[in-house]
Amino acid sequence: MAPYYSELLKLCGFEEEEITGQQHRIESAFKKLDLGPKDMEKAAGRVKKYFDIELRGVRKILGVWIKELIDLVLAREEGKKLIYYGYPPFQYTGLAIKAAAAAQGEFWIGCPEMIFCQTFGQIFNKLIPILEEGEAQGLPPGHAMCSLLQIKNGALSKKMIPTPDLSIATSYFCDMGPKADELMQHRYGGYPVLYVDSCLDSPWGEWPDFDQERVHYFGKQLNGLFRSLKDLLGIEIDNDVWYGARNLAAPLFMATNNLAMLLASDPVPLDIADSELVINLPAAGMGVAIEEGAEAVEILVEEVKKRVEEGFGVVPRNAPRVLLTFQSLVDPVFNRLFSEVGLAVPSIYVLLPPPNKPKSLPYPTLGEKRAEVAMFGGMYHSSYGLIKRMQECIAFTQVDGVVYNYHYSCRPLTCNSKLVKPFIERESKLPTLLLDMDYYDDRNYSAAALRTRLEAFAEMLKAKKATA
Amino acid sequence: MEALDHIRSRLASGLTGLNQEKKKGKKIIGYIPGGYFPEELVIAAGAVPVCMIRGGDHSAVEASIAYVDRWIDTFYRAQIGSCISGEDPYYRMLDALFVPITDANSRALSDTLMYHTDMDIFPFGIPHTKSEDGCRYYLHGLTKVKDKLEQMTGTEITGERLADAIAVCNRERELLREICRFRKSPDMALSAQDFVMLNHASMIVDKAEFIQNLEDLVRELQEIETAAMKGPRILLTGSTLAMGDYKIIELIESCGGNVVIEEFAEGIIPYWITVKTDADPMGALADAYFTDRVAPAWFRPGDERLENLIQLAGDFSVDGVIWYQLMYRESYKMQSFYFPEMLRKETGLSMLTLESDYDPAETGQMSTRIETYIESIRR
Repeated sequence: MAPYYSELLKLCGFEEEEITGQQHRIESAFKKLDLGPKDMEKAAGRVKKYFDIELRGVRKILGVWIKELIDLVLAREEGKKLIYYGYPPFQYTGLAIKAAAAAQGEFWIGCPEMIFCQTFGQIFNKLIPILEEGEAQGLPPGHAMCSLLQIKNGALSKKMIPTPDLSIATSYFCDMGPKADELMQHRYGGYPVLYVDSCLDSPWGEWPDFDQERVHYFGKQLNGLFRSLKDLLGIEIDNDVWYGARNLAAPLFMATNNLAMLLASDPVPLDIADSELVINLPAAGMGVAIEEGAEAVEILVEEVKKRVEEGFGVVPRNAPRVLLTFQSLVDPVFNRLFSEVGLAVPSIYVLLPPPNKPKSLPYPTLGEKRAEVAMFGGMYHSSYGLIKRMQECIAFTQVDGVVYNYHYSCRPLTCNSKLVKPFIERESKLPTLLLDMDYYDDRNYSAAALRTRLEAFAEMLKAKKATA
Repeated sequence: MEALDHIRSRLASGLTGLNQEKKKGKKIIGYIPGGYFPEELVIAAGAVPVCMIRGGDHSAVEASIAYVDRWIDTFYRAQIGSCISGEDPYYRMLDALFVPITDANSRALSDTLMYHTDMDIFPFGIPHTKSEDGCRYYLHGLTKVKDKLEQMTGTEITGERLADAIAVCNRERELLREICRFRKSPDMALSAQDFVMLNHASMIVDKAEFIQNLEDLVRELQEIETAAMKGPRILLTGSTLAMGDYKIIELIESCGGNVVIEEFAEGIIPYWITVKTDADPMGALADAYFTDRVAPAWFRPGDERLENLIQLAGDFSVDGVIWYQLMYRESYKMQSFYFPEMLRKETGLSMLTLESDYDPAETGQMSTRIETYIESIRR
């Protein structure tokens, strides 16, 4: 008799030999995660309903997420050291650590909460008990605490994931992430937390310029991170390691870029519920996500290319095109809404074109060089930088409107949310819809209510397009 | 006490005083509280510093709704509402507003006012980690502030002028410390409402007269006969204690508690610091305001503040701690989760956590919780 998880894993692209060969590991991980036969049955139904599993690439990517989850859960007992970093991760830090750590033994490196979003959220729809635990352990409901951090807190508290040997906090972007890391450090056992700090203090209108001192400070913080990695874990990151590390994920980046280009086709060939599975692969885990993820995305690219050639779309040709800030990372119901109301999403904010980088100054250290690149990227520069980069993305994707769906408990997105709409409408002359939602916790919004607003927006765009 | 009456009266007529200074041609320089904007620089530039410390009024929060999301800290939303609505005369009087960028809440304030108003807004960053590099970055920000003030006022902030201003502000801090130490006594020397009022006044009224009043107050405190304090001694701490947000202290006092020491980043000035006078004045300002002071909750890590609270609890012989914070100030909210365990372990004391959105409807519930807490301490 086939194991209880066999159907789901096959739906998620596992080969028969993988299921048999990994049986002990799979069962051990699922036991720790309290995932039983009923969960598998429900997950199989969810995957069939919400994901385009006719596409082998989609199935494979779902499988990559499950494999990364299993590796994470078993990492400690399999003798690995663990390094967690927060979300959003800083550029290629995870890759550089992976490249440099190889000589120092076995490591699991990644962002555990993101893996939980993709698996316990997208696939199993079983995040609520973890979120509730995260709430009970210091990140309470009703206070706009980030649900992504609640997930990490809950998973640590429930011992679903091991406590790390080191945690890297997102002090360069987010206020809540580093404070939550501090809280978790207090709660779960005193492991070191490294804060990579920056000051997002640019005045409105400054980007793409910046005060050089910002680069010096941020760069020195990054250099401090590199020094601490060496002191604590013997991991040595220098220029060669950093730039070489990008090769580790080059196939994945290339495949993701190719997919992004195909998504810009008319009609849009893939639903954002499916493309969401791809976008966070390079950010989430530095193991299977990088190694097998590339192959899975390449398969998907070939399948999507075929769709484009055949003129297949998830919405009709000439459907109004909108730029979206970000998909839900846990809720395919929300993600499906766009195609259901007839909106084409050719791109999302994080798939921005590369910034037009002015001539670089000769910064002497690796940290400063990376900090400088971050300034041009906009998001780590200022609210204004973030919005201006969004404008560049709008110009690049030729959209008819913008949906600024923001994670209500993410202060860096919330602090400028009410400036985005007037700014984009005035500067880019595009209708903009603000959607206050939660990327990681579907209890905090009503998909039906959001649908009503999206429908109205879609109808308006269709009417505008018809009369243009 | 006569000195207190003088200060109260000066604070009440603060706006008139600022108007008079403005008519004389002086620049009125606003700043956002938090203890990271050294008034010394403004004084040395021959301008008038005034802190945007008013709060507690829910109508200002309501006025902000069109401009900023509700998930931003109450005090900052109130500032946005007050400024853009044009209802606050202090904002109308400013020649510039300096905003120390501490977290996303102050970013929201700075960006929103820059976008929606013509006001001259000057943000400068406060690093979140104490280090040499952090202090250097803070000093860089102060230097930009200095340059901006010089450009606005046409007055060069020389080392001598700055040293004089530091001496004035050091004297003010010294006097506030001295007054605060009276509160260690088992007798009731000075009420919390009065001490908080002194802090707020120090951010608004003319320094020279204020210092004179403080000196008089010290003399009066040395001479008056005090009665033994009845009821539990309370340490009141949190994110922001704005001028006008007196509900919390009134409720504690009406329930029989006595606030004997306060710890707030915004609303209580960092009077425990002294700026060195035997060093480069700009460097000395950075050292004192960034490194020497106890960092607020949004620092990473933020244990220094918690250790200081335990120290204050002992120094002021408190019987309990009330943690009063504003909605959506997440760094304080998180610390309020694990601090009670630290506090109990180190001092045996318990803690009550309260939150406010400046909503009058909170009062009843808050009162019940404070009353219960005070009762539990008494027993």
